[in-house]
Amino acid sequence: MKNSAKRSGRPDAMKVLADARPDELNPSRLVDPMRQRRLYAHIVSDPADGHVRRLRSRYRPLGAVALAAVAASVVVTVNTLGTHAPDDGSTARPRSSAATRAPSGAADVDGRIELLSAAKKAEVSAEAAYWQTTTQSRYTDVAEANGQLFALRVTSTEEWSVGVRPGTGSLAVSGLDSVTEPRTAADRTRWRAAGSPREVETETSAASGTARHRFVMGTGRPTVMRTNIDDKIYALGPDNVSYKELRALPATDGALRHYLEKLYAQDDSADHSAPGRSTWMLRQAGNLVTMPVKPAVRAAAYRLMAGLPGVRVLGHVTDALGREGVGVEPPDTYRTPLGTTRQRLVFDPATGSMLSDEYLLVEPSARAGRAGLEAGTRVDCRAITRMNWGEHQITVPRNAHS
Amino acid sequence: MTTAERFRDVYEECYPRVLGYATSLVGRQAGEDITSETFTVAWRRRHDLPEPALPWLLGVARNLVRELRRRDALRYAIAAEEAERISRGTQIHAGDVAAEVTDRHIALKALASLSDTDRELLTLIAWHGLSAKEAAQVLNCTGATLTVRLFRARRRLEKVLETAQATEAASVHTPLEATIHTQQQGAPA
Repeated sequence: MKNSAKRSGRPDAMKVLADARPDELNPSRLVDPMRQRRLYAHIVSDPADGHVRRLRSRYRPLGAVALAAVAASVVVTVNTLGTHAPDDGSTARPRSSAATRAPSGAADVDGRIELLSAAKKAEVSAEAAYWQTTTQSRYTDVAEANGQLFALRVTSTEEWSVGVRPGTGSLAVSGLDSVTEPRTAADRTRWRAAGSPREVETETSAASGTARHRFVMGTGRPTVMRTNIDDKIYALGPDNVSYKELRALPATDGALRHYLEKLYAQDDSADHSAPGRSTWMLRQAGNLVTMPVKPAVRAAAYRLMAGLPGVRVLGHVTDALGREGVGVEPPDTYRTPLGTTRQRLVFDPATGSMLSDEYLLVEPSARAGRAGLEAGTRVDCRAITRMNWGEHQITVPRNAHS
Repeated sequence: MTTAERFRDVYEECYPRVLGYATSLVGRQAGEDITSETFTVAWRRRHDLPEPALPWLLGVARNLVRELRRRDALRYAIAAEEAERISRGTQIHAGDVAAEVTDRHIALKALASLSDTDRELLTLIAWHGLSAKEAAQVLNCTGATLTVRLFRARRRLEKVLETAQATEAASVHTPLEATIHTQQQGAPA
């Protein structure tokens, strides 16, 4: 725009304004193509379709694992240099008792977990075309309708089948046998008192604070999603990786740590505080052990988890399906409309496989409390029930949304 | 075309503009968050995405920003301040021609003197490239209402522009200190 143009007759104010748009708002300057692509992959590969998305805290245990094939064992060692000396100084308590004191979650075995892979074993099951996982998902929320507050629960099954050979695709079918219903008999009574509404609203976390989310009571239809972008099949930190890249990951402790630290530095969306770093590393390591990586990589990932500062290891916990395992918790807690929550990964020490990824209520909000949710309630959980290689792609139910 | 394919196309086409719009409201970082949430909402709605999608997407982004404002006043205030700094165009880039810098400042200063509603409407059209009809969809009003509002907003802009240009011509060196925050290294000549 030039002054002379405007002086003659009537200046085109809109043109003047358009020309004055700050460069910082120019879309082509703003867009970072990698970030744009990453967000896309994140959105379309989100198996929690219809659930609350927790972009920054969500593990993807669905990554599926050759864990049936790869035995890893877990050894909980009490940190002899740690602060527990006065406790067990007098009597020689059996070592396991340190672990059994932990399950409340109030105190952890403040030590190190060493997850030693029985990596010497060869992989038993042969690699096939698809890496497949079945997960039971349970989600709890608090809804309000016609003045009645009640807790609801959504249960469903998810199947994820990741094609690792050229030309195979990856499919995730979520919401199989999905049921949304009042959580307890008391909740059902309150829902009925509200007139048994078919649709109810809950409050959910969003980057912008709290948003409302609508749930439809009763059974739901499954949703099918393609989760690969060309040959990229998993997200690893800010990157998407192919099967080839996955198989080429560094297998020694130092090299794997170095690799993940590099990714961490590149991940703009990561929380770059010290606990944020541990949480991030734990997330990546947790994801890795659920992917069809080489046994040595999985073993290194377990050792990496064990050494993360601030990460809590609980000797004996049970997951949502009642299975016993070792709990591993990142240092961060999360504030949600239901209260403060803490994440816990549960691993089977016998096989080294991941059993579940759950969020437990640490301190219920007033609203959650009124709906009967207590500290310790699992508000969101995914329990892995099956992982194996398959030669054929999973079938998509006829009634699935695409 | 499947709904997923349609979503992909909409994403490819609209992502830059949603990001630009969100950045203009809440700055760079919160703008990324709002954009991410906007497309998450769109993904959930992929079975019935409006056509054209852009005005609807900007409307979603706008609502998410309002939600942010309602729920987290402090975070919003910080984000909005960054957006305002951007919109006032305090950054002067190397190689900018002095006359153009001046023109830009006059326009941005004029814009800043208008009401929020005028500014929002004018920038939707001039900066974010919407038609009047599309802007009406974003602002959730009728086309007729928008036509009237746009006419008036435009008149007010023209007025302040004329005044600003006259003042600028009269006193070349004074203008900007009141409107511009800290970093005006290169005072416009």
